[in-house]
Amino acid sequence: MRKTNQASTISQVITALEYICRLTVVQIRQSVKNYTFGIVWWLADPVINTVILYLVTVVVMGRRTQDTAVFLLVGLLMFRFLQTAISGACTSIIPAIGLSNRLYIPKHAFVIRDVLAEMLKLFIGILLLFMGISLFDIGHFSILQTLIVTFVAVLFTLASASIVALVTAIIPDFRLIVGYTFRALFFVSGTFFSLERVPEEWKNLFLMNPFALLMHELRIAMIYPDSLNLNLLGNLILISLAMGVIGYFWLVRLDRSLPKYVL
Amino acid sequence: MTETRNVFNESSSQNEIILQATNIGVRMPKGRGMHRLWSKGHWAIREVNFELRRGETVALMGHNGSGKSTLLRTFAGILEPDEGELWIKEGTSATILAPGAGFINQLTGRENIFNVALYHGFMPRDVAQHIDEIIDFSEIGSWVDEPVGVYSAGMRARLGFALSLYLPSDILMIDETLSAGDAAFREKAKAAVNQLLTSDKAVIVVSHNTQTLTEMCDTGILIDSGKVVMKGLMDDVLAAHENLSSKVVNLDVGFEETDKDDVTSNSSGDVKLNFNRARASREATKRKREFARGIFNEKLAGFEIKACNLLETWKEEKNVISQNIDTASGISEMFEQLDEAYKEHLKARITLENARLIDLEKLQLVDDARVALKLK
Repeated sequence: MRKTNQASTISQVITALEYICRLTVVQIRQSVKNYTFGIVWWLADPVINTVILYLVTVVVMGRRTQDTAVFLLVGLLMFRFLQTAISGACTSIIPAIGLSNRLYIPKHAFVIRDVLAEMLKLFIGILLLFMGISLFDIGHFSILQTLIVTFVAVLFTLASASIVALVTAIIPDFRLIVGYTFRALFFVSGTFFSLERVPEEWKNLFLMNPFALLMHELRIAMIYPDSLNLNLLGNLILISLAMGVIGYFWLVRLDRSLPKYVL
Repeated sequence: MTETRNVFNESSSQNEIILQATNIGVRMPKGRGMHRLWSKGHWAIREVNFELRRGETVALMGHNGSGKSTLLRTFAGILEPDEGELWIKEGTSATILAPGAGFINQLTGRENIFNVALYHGFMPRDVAQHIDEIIDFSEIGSWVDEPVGVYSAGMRARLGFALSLYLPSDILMIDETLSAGDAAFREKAKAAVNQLLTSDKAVIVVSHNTQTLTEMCDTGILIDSGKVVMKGLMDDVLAAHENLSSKVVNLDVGFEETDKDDVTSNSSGDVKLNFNRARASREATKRKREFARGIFNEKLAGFEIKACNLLETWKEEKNVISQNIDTASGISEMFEQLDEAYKEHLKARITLENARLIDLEKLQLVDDARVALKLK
């Protein structure tokens, strides 16, 4: 009896994972088909933003090092992933309510789907960056460290997205707050400056910002031959797990109540 | 304390209960924004008791806003009841027939078939074996490989309807969706739904078309202002529904009827106020009469349609009876012919027997003669 239950539980988990993956594929296909050069914009987005930042920091502000472009690109890649995935969660549930009023679909599936779609973009970007770094022999790329940082980033994003999606579904104004927050975070998270430029007394506080931490650690993994700060990453994992448990618990709990409240 | 979706194991058999609602109620919030969180709301359905058995077909009737769709959404698991208990047998799926729900305009019809099936919880491999049947049933032909955004409303509805019919569901709920497409497709859709009715699926039908409900459903439920008013056989529930609809004619606009000369002479202000009230009452009465006339004309047209349908039915039955009579007289003629043939056969047998007897006598004579010769 127990074996049968375990087998059916495993089967259910596999089915759920397959379901989420297929939903993600649908989401990606839809976002690509929205534009004429769909997938090209995916790849061009971080590059275009890097060019803009490069012009600002190198040409206008005169700050230049050997690996400035790669430095900016890595930071932007991580920041764009976090920003798009978490901000995107604001619009995961509300547009799906119309469909949810006619078919039962678990709301947390939409949140996970959107984050996974952005995660695929991040992987493609990292892969292209890896090819570029290898080709031009810039920096010091560590696959294991990159995977660790990416895993922590995805975990943090899933957890944040669950809470953001739920709150925004009930209080739509929260979406604006998220937007303003990301605007501020762009400037204070080290997107275009390194940790060395932060005063010593502010470094610990700086690294308590998850966005700053993840960008810094990804740069270590892909450019610099240093070790990751596993303590801080471990703390972020624990915080993400706690947030994720709270967020998904309430998403599941309010799954059949949200269609009543969301217009 | 609200309990929903308890699951039990029962042995399957026809007429087993697969859905049971006990005193369920759903409260829907009012207002906008955060006000919806703390508004008292209104009870869309309340104190609803309902049982559905495997293979049963139930009509759900009520005027607009009575709570029919809310009830179906609660059964489908989309909404959670705020009170009462909803039980659905373990492993039983309940879906609302929702043609076109989930279609993405940028994707082709074929891609949308797989997507919508996914929303229903079916993987592409489950749908692939039926994809050709779905496309054939929808009658959209080569348009299936074009983006759904270019389809007409009828094409979207047909494709969605075809897909919904092929996705297996133990409890199918049809919420006024049998009017999709042109007349030919509607007949086809009805035939397909009727086929479902003969299987062990349970079906709940919501429609304002009484003919459809009478043809498809065994029993009916009448719901009004969120409460079940009546449950029973179709004819009884239909009659109750019509009675209820006629009561809607009596509008209450808050003014009492007065005579046009109802003018008091206390002061000029009072005179004007009473005259305005009288005019408002006359207008209200006029609106009531027009509304009642509209309802009466609608009912008359309905009766006329019923009468025409009955006449057609009688004509068909008369033709069938005439054919049966012709067949019967043909059969009696055949029996008469058979009788004659049998009589001839009997005569022939008698003749044959007589001939045999004569032959036997002759033989006997020959034998006697031989014996006589031997003795000599």
